[in-house]
Amino acid sequence: MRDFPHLGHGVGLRPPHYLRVVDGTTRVDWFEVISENFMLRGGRPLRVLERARATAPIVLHGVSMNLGGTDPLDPHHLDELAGLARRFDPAWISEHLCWGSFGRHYVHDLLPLPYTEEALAVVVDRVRRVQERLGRRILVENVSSYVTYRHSTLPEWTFLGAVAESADCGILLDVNNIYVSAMNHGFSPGDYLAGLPLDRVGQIHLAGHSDAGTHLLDTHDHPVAAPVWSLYGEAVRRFGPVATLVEWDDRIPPWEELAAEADRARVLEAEALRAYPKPA
Amino acid sequence: MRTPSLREVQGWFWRSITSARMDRRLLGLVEPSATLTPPARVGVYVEAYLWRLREVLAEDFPRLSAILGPDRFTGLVRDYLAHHPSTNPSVRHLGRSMARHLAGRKDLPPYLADLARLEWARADVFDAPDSDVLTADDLRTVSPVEWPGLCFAPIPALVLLHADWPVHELWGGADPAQLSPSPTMIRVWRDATDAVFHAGTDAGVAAALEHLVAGESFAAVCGALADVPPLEAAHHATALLARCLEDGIIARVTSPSIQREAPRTPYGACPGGTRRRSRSDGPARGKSGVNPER
Repeated sequence: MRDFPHLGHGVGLRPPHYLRVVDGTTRVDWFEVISENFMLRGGRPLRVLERARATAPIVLHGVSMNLGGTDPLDPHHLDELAGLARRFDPAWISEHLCWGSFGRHYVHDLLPLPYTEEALAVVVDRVRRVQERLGRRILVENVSSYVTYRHSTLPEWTFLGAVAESADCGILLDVNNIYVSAMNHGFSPGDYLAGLPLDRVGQIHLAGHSDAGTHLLDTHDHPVAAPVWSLYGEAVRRFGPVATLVEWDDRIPPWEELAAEADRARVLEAEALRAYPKPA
Repeated sequence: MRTPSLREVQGWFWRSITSARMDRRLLGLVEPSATLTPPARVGVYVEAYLWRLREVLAEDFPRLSAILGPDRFTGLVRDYLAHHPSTNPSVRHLGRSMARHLAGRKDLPPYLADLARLEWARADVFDAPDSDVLTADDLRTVSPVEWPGLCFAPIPALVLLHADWPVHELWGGADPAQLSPSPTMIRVWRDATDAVFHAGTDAGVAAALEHLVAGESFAAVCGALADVPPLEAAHHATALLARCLEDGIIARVTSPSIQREAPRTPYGACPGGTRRRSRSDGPARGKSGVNPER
């Protein structure tokens, strides 16, 4: 998508690597940061982000906008996000397709929506209002889930595509989340990719997950799993070259190991595009 | 059966996650998977809620967590979340009511509330607004007649904490069981390297320090040392100011007669050798406090 250029292959910036940023020893195409972690009045994190921004493009990735919620959108939170965007000039801003608060109480989790016409209308309206406040299109990300609802009437991919088309936003396609949810709910990851609009995917997420025996958990504490790399190749073949980012949030490895995951994504993307060039 | 509204579903889900009992109406809506029943599926979120927020609070209250031990701290978190669910989109603010909550827990040692206040103050100064820092060099040209009228403004990343217990001693290896109540003023601050420090303040100068950071004149600071002769009070007040300057907790000085306040400079733009030092310019000298993990 025009609003979401291919920045290359980046990583999520987390505190264990702040010193590397300050030292100027990070070599990466771009950084993604959790928006809420920088809604601060001052201190080291903001200085690190300034430094990171001086070396590479950054993207703001939010976890609490509550796009699928039924509480009113929090105007103060939106103002804070708009302020961060003014200060750090991110390449784009992304949020999650989920809900996370009720009665103004936050769960700090990405809770699953029922995929109904009512929920679709709620999300579309809220994405539009967020975009209006920010003055730009955002990307909306699919989440991992452990619950499906009997009263859902749409597959998740149809719901996500409809949000993107109706609200005129982009899609942040989390390939690991597709895989985790597919294994937990018994759908085909290929069907997911095939069901999305071709021209809405502006970014791809990759991450590791854990096997809890009875289900997969989206833990971001492992290297990207082999089936997820494979699904990434499929996604590249379908959507073409898209800015890709590796998330690692727990048991975070040394910088070199994290950067190597981004490099691996770069190689796999090139291989996928060589083998199956996207039709003009 | 009527299709529930999105609002209803979210209310049932919220209560299932945050209370001890799952809502049967929610369980009736959730499909089983090949391996998990509806309660087990919702249970993934119930468990994640507690353990995710426990991790956040353990990071904000490391001493409290260590003193209570894993099981008692988990119990405290469960109780805390039941009474103080998060009300801010950023999880950074989750622990704001912990000290107040502990003050109401008569089954726990009474010093824990002060310990939580100290740990929360450390969190607060960690991301307090940035500012410039006044140095001793900045004051060298002030003539003696100007001194009584000087007023000092503290950096925003400074908190003066009045505690009933000397909980700062717990960082020095004090045995919590041996702690005795003793009213103490603890100063907590972030220095130019972004390290967070705290230190107990000698009772003899605590009142003077409060006057100093409240922006009162240096004469008033000396006056707060009323139990010593004037000359000695001036000596103590000067030593206190020197300590504050070394710690980097004074942002600027003003005087009605000399109008010495310099224009504010943006981060990183403060030229070397001027009367104020940017908080990013490097470590200050001779820190008087302890700087644990944050």
